Amino acid sequence: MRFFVFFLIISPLIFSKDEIQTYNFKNDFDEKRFYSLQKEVSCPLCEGSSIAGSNAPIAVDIKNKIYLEIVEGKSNEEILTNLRDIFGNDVTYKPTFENNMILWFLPVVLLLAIVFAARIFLKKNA
Amino acid sequence: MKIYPLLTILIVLSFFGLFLFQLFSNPSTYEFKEKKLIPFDSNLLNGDPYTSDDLKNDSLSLLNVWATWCVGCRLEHTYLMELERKGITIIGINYKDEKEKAFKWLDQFGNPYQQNVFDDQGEIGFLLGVSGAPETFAIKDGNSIVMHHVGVLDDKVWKSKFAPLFEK
Repeated sequence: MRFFVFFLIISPLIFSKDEIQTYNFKNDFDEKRFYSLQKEVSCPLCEGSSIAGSNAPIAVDIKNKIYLEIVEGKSNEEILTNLRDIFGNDVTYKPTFENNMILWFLPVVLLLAIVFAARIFLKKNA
Repeated sequence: MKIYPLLTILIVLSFFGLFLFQLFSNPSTYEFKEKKLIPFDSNLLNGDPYTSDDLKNDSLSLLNVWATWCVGCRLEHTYLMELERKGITIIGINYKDEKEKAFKWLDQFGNPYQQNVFDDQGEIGFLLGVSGAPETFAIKDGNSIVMHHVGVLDDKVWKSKFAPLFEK
């Protein structure tokens, strides 16, 4: 009985294979950066979830990559750009201006075109 | 004022035309936005060195990411063997796997790959943008990704995504 209890107590030490990944940072700022960046990156494998909320292998890989790049001293924007180069623009939740210019300018262009066309037609029919 | 009804009809008709066009324009080829290939440096399963520069020998290379733990890879293996018989060169990327298991798999089921890159840590897979095996890539001139398919490669996928590139 005593052996059994002893066995139960030490069994986690014997059977646990998973090493818990710990991230160590030089300062609190970097650590905060690490966790806030995770919320901005979507997990490519599990739709509708950021990598912060996922333990999918690819999400863990991306977290490790972010960690390494923070330690290397890269800025948030550099880190997100690198991830976009690899996984495509959809990997970050925040859309980039350059890729969505048509959404910004098309309404203005359309409105101007309609006003312009209407003026010509109105003049002709006046 | 006759102009407004006319203008309205014109706008409605043009939208209608756009929708019809989208409905019947059935693209036989799949559009993919070309991406730059991030250079890598690695080893083959047999231990020889291999870098992304080796891909530059071919104008178009087919890369297949596989692993022995991946069920989809077993499913597409028969099709890969068929492609190899047709004369398509396939470079394998053995992703997050173990050497012994990989060799055993190739002995048992056949080897459709000309060469097999050993990517046990998944680093090359990461640079390619692999989110899980199986995935297949077409690489142009060893420097850009021109096609990326996530999932099992079969005849339908080959014909819509890869065959148009390889028949050029």
